[in-house]
Amino acid sequence: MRIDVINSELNTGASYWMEGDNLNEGEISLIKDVLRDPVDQNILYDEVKPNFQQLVEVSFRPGVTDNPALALKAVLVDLLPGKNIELATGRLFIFNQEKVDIKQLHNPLIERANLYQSHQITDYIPSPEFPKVELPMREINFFNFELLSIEELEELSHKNIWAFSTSELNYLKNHFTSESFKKERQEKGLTTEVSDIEIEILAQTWSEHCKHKIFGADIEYTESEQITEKKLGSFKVNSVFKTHIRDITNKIKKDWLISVFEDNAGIVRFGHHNDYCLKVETHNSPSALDPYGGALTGILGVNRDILGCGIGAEPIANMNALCFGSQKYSEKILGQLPTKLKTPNRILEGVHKGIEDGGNKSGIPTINGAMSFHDNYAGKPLVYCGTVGVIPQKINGYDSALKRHMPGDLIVICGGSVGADGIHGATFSSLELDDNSPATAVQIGDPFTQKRLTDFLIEARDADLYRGITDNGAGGLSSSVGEMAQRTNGALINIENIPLKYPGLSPYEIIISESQERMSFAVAPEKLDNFLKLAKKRGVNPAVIGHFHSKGSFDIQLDSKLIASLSLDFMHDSLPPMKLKAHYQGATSEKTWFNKQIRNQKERFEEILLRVLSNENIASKYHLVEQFDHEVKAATIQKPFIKKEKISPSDCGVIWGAPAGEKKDLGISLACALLPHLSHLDTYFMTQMVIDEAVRNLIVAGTDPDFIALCDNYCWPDPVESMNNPDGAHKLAQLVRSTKALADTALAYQTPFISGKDSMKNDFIGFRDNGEKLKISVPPTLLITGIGKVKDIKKLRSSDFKKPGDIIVYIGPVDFEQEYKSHAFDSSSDLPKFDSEKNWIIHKTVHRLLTEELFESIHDVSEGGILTALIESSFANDMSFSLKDFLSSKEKLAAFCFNELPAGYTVTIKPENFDKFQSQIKLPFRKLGAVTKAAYIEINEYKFEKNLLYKTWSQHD
Amino acid sequence: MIRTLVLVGEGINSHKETARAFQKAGAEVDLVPIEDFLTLESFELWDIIAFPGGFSFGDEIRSGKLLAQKISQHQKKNLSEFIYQRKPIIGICNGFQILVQLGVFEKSKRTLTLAQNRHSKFINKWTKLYANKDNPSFWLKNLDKMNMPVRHKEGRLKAIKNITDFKVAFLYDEDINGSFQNVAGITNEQGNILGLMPHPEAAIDPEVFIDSPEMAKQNQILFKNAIEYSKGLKNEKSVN
Repeated sequence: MRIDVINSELNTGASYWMEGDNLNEGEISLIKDVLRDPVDQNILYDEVKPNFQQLVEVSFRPGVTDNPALALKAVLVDLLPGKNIELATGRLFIFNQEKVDIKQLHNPLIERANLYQSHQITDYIPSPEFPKVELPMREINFFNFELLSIEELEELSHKNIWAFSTSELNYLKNHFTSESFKKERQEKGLTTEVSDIEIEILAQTWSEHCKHKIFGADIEYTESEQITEKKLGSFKVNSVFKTHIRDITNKIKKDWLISVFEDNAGIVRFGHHNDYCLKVETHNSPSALDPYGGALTGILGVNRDILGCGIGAEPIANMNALCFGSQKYSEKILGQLPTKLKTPNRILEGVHKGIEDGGNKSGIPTINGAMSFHDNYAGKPLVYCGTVGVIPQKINGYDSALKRHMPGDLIVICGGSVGADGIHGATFSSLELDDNSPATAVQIGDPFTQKRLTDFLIEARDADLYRGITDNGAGGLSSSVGEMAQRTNGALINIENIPLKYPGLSPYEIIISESQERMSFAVAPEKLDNFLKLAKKRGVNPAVIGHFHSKGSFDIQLDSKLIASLSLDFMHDSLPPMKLKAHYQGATSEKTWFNKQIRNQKERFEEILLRVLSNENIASKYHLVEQFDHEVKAATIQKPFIKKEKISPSDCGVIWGAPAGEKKDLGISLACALLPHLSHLDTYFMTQMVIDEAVRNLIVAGTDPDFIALCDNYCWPDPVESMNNPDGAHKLAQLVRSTKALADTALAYQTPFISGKDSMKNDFIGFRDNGEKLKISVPPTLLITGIGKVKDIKKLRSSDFKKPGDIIVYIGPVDFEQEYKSHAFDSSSDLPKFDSEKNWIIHKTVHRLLTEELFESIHDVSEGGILTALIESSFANDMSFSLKDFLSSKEKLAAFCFNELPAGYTVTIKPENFDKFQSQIKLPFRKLGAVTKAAYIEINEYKFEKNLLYKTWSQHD
Repeated sequence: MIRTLVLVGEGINSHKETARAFQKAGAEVDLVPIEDFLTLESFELWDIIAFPGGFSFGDEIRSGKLLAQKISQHQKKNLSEFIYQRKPIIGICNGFQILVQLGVFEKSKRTLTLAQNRHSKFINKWTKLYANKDNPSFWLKNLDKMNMPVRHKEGRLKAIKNITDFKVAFLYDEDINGSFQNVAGITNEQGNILGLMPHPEAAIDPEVFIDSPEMAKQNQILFKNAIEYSKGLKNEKSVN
């Protein structure tokens, strides 16, 4: 049976399929009352006749998460008790025009769409059948490593998306054919052949996505003699992660570091009662295939990292950084992209909607973010999602940062059931994207189920009902339980107890499925009854799927029979590091995937200004950000934009501590930075600039420089050299230069890293319509996210100018003679100096002056340079400024105005405070001019109408 | 002590700030999970019920509809009794959508709804409001100009013409979503049920304002009004 509901005002509708027990008229009428609002919706055929020309029906493919159906089912089981009804939903679009493009209305990877003419829908919609998953029952496959050659194994690895390298297959073959392995198998009563369950578990655990093999590799770095960038010489580094990140954090030794690099998120002690945790993840490959689902699951996934951090933290703020191909491509350029690849506009639209639903529906404010546009994100977008969590320092007398599960504790999973969606997410994202990437790696998140799970988790935590927790993310149970098992030294899972969405999944699929919205808990036997009782009451679908033990193995049983077993040491600690060579060739010119015409003619100053302000990376993103709820929880005291008369951007999000039980003065600041446009010039310099900008974004919000922790997220093009990837050694060298800069700059700034993630295969390989092969690799991209402590939120000043007459001052390195210019209008290779020690003094000084309340406004100088910073600050209160009296004409005006130098700030100061400022700063600064209320902004002999500048900057709002 | 029941669970997400707003105004607050609420014998313990904002049941099918269905199935009688006793009820944002779907504003047939914003987008922005001086409801006592955030996608009030079922409580000072006569909030005819799309509970602290933090006081008054009224109602009862 199906019911179609139409909203004639909006020309949209919904269809509901129902299958199962028969329903009588009364029951059907009850359902109809739930499905339509009597004021503005009608049941098609019952209440209105179809009076439109065309109708498009879009519904999910079988097995794709159908959130409306799940929510509706939760109500119908209650409304019609005892009735067994399966539900599916679809969307209807009504058209009264000739041409309808159904491609714009659905994503064929996960949805089916049908277009009907009016004569086809006179008394029913001839839609496809109820979307039911029907899988053939599959057996467990066994592999005999004695008989299989490496070539055959390579073929198997490719076919099954295991993503093993040749040396890993050799390593596996050696292990699985060794006498000790055979003996171990005999003792356990298992055959010496290896099951697909075991191979798949290893494939997940060893995937680049989960194991970060490149960050752990032994790398030999060399560089060309000719480079003009900073010379690093030749050296060997055993794991850039250990050497350049973890060891640096250990060296910096802040007493407020509670947990770093161990858990799902890093934990810092910035509060009086609470600790705060931060995690940033990427969800690039899924977002390329289904932008909406990819971004949505990205947000929900990183939220679960927070839920699974320590003994369970609560997400209080989200951030995101999104990298897309240019939104301004002409039809001609778009025509050169493979037809299967989604256009940058569609990717942005879907990702944006996913971020909106992910944050808004979870009740977590999105307080900070960044968007970056670059031609080489056209093959694969980057979707960084980050979350801050809060956790009381002690819960029920225990340190909340510690998990405490022991052998004998039961493994209970709660949340959604397991399906074929999300199989091979971890291994698939460890490969480059191509035309045949699997649709099962695509998933749609369910924020509602996750919200239920969140509410339950906090309640169960505070009632001390469990003592270990982790989220099920990449790699599914094989990763989550596999990792938790390291604490007790073993675990056993009973496959038949895992709740499934539908029958037919093979055991390995059940173990590795990344089906969303699930958490794994370790529950002490004596608490099990109470745990299950509460979980059932809160509707989170608990299942006891096994227990932890201390036998040193990860075991899988089916109907009480052991079917797979792997030694934990072999899984986690045995794989030898990769050995790689990195060679740096020096700066390269920027190559884009299509033949881009570079402008070379001289431009007039006013032309440059308008072009900088309208540049995609600088122009306002307010029209996009307005749809992200940034203040649910009523604690966001610094918001993404400052909206008064007009709009200015802010540099940093700040969450107020008081609603979470902190003292009234405390704020937690969150900011980020990324500058992929500098990567081709030098990733060492790019990294210095990114850290510096992230730190400045925090400083302007009043963050104490002694309380800043960073999170590094790398998204790189494949840095392993191969036939398909001839410049791998250079990209690896770019990576090493970047991590080296990370280490050097963090040491100088005394800002430890608490968490991070890397994604190393951000390449798209496909074919143009004419058969030509096309590879698009992202520019090497580093996102730095910083979390900081604002000791006194009363000292907080926003970036907007406050009063006419206030004096405008630039603080920062005064090195204007250099010809380096804004990337917005030039990409010269002449890099400015970066002096970490000096910069750090500037940042500390700015903080000191800020806490003495000498500034009325403060903004960091970043993309678009000093003039862009000033113009942005002028908008919110509809002010202007005059730089007329203070600029010497000798200076090169454009370089001065648009230079993107490190460590710079623009501030405004009340005239009566200027003397005090001058006597206290003890650093070079430049008095630039004054805030005015005029209709024009004046710079030397130039005059610009402020409304025109605003219009140029905010053209999309 | 005035006791307020604040609903929580099933996708509601503004319960904590709603609870804080009532606590700050002097009430005792019980956060009651929906599953527990649905099985309550009676609502007698409480003087005020608050339906906070959020995305109950993921906003699927129609915002507020699915939770309203559950409530009307299990608690119609207790809710009617509560309303009959003229005890205060407030629904904010999704809470307002739930109240609309429950049909508590109309005398009999549903005549109003909250439809998708005219621009069909979710918006989060601060907005100025005016309390309707002609509405005598206790909720609006001493209120005039107000400033608070809106955060919704389905907030356009749509009413079948010539209805006198409800009274206007708040008006936006500009057309933000295409709402009928710029209406931001309404009360029932008796004035004890208030529903509004903007979030007063998110604007009771000066710290969260971008400008005019002194306006936080106005929003606190709204919650105090319900408490003062409830005290009066209690006295009235004990006198009788």
